[in-house]
Amino acid sequence: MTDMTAMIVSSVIFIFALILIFTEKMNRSIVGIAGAVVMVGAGTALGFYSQDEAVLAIDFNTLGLLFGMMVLVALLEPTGFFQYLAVWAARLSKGRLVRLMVLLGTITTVLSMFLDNVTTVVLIAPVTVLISEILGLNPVPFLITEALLSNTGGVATLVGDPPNVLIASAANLSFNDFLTHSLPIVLFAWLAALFLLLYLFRKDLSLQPSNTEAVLKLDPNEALHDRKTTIRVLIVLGIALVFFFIHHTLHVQPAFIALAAGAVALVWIQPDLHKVLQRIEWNVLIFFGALFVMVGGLESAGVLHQLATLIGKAGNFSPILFGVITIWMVAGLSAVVDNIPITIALIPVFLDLELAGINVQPLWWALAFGAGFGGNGTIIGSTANVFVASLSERTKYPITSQIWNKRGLPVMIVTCFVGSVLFMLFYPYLSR
Amino acid sequence: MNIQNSMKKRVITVLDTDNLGTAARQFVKYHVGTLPVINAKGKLVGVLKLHDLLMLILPAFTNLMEHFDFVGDFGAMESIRPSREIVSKLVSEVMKSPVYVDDSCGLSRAFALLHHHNLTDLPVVDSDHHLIGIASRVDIGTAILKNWEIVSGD
Repeated sequence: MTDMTAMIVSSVIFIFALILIFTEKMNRSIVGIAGAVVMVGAGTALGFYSQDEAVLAIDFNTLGLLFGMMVLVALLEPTGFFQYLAVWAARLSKGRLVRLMVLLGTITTVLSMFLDNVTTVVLIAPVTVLISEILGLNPVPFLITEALLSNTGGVATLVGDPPNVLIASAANLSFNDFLTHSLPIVLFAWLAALFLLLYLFRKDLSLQPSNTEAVLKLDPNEALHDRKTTIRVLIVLGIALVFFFIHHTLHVQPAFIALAAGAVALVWIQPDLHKVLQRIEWNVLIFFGALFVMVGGLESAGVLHQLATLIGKAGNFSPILFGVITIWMVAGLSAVVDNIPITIALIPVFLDLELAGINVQPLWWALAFGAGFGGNGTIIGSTANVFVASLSERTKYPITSQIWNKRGLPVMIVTCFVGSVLFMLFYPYLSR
Repeated sequence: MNIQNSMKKRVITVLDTDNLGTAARQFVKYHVGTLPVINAKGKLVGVLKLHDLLMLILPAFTNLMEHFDFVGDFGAMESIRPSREIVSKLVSEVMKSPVYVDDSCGLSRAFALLHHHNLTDLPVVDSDHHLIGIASRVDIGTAILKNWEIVSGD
């Protein structure tokens, strides 16, 4: 009977918090902090969850990895490196729009494979507006393309996307596991997304830009105003990548490598720490921590175990089908709700399924694909989308929800479709 | 010394019901940087600055980026014309609430107001809030200097 009460109480707390996050009536981190406190309070009162358990529920591996990478980004942000790349792309395009779109999309993708998606888009998008305005063009096609391609590309690597960090930590997947399992599939999904976007924006891309010489006069070197720091951060980042490749053999967690890289960069560059810390996205870290505490409460109350048992009973269908259903279900949810709470809530369910003897290895990839590709669907699907839309409101061409859906939904469907087909084809490989 | 002796008594104005096209023509015709906005009764209701009018057509990227010194050529933005929508906007939609003084205001206070609000021109009203003059930064500044011995002694 008490078990039942605990399950109901913890579920109500979690669902209520999700609704608040979903409706965006309140800042998601504030909801997180309050929700975590209520969960621990209720758990202590009813005896299903304690403060000690809550602390243990926090995955410091995820937080450490995110924090370490945030430090590197915070150091790189003010140097003008991102602007440098975008300006360089603009010159290389020589005012040819298809080429410009492919170049900007590719740069945003590659950066967001290794750095935070949102930061990448935050820094590339204003330069995109600049280039579009100089060329006398509407920036919207380029802005939407950048957000969609960076969402898609981020799925390829362990550090590319917060859900991946969570999945890797829970399932003990290495950086290379992502490169060998996720990257090849994401590559095809990404190419499909790119060609689809070039088709969807074919009218905008056939326009004649009015002033291509002005773009050629842009000097990327002048955009890069702190060359010394840029070089140092890039060297540290490069070495960190090498260590990511071998972290399994070294028996260290990716978090250690990221934190070590952050520490080395800080010691080498010795920046004004106050400014660096201001650029760290504390609200994201707090949101993660709070969600871990809340989901820990659900787990302690036995809700997730029940859920897993239910899925296990219903799961008489083939495991391949189950994986495909996971991709589409998670994608559908991620399009309308933040994909981080979904991932954090599903991880213990999958771990429980594993204990029941089900091979969940392919499901981790299905979860990653769904969480990543689903964010493309709507204007609120990912933080990058939200940022690009709010940026566009400060230009003459605001992006509305309809404008987004006309491109984002097809891209989400196509990437999920490509992901599903390859998931089915390579199911035996993904199961290992 | 108060502001009455140093202000210009002939003031170029626009009506709050005029559109921005009319305002633009006033700026050009009289080569001024500030247009006090009056209503049909001649009372001061706002101020339209040349700067604010130009901000409406400024490229968006200049507001989005911390640094754009590397942009040597604004390209298509150089030949930009305001849209029909902007030109037909009413002055009352764009004007700012006025910083003004009445005709008994002293010069130091007038200058302090200009400095504090980062303005170049200060409308002057009478006790009925009717616009009776305008004093520029130069009008007020030179009037203050005139009181100095080293200036008046020469």
